[in-house]
Amino acid sequence: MQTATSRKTASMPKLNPLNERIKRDYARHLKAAQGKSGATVDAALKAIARFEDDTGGRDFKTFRREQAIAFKDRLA
Amino acid sequence: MRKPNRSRAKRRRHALNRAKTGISYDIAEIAKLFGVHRNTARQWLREGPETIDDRRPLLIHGAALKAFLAERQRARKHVCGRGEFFCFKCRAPRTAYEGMADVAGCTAKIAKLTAMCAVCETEMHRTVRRADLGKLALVLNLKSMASERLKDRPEANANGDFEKDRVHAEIEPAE
Repeated sequence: MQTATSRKTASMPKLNPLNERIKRDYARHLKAAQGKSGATVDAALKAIARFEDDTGGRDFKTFRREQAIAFKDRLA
Repeated sequence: MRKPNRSRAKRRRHALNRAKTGISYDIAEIAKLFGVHRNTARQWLREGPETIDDRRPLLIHGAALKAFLAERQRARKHVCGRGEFFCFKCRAPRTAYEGMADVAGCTAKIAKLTAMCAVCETEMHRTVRRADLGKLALVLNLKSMASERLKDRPEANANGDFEKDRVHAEIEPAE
């Protein structure tokens, strides 16, 4: 049975498992090493998710400056 | 000094809004999030939500976890139709035995219905609004019962301390 929540999952962009692990490590770094609050970590993850959505879930290892610049242009 | 109670409650419904839909969780994090044992979280993983990949630690995306638990909780839920009662023995909504139900008073707004399960004859209960009794009377044969509370009883209590009760006892001796 498809539910409201499962529909949400289905419409989500395809997950990149490697990116998920990188984001997770970064969230741990922010929280544990830098002592950031939960809300700050959430905000950072939200911003990263926006960027990831913009690049279509492309691997972070293929990151180039042009991607970030294009993303910023689209935000403006 | 008493030790604090750290035992985990056996919950059937979890606060799903604790899981964030944008991040991934490992087993220990899920266990901590919902206050369940790690083995429970592992069992959930065997039952449904897919991990993001095969690498360790196994990670489950928050949205997938939330969808899985929501579906699981929804499957447990039964909705009784009009005139139906939830039978705790059958664990399903059942109709009343021969459509009979007793109405016991509760408050000015609500009434308590008691009936027998049409399948297993177990006693079933349901609390309804008094305003709905008229609609229920169309599908159930409702019978009003006397209140179980002493203060609502019309007959006087012979053991009471009140003067009027003593008078009542003298007029009608217990013998």
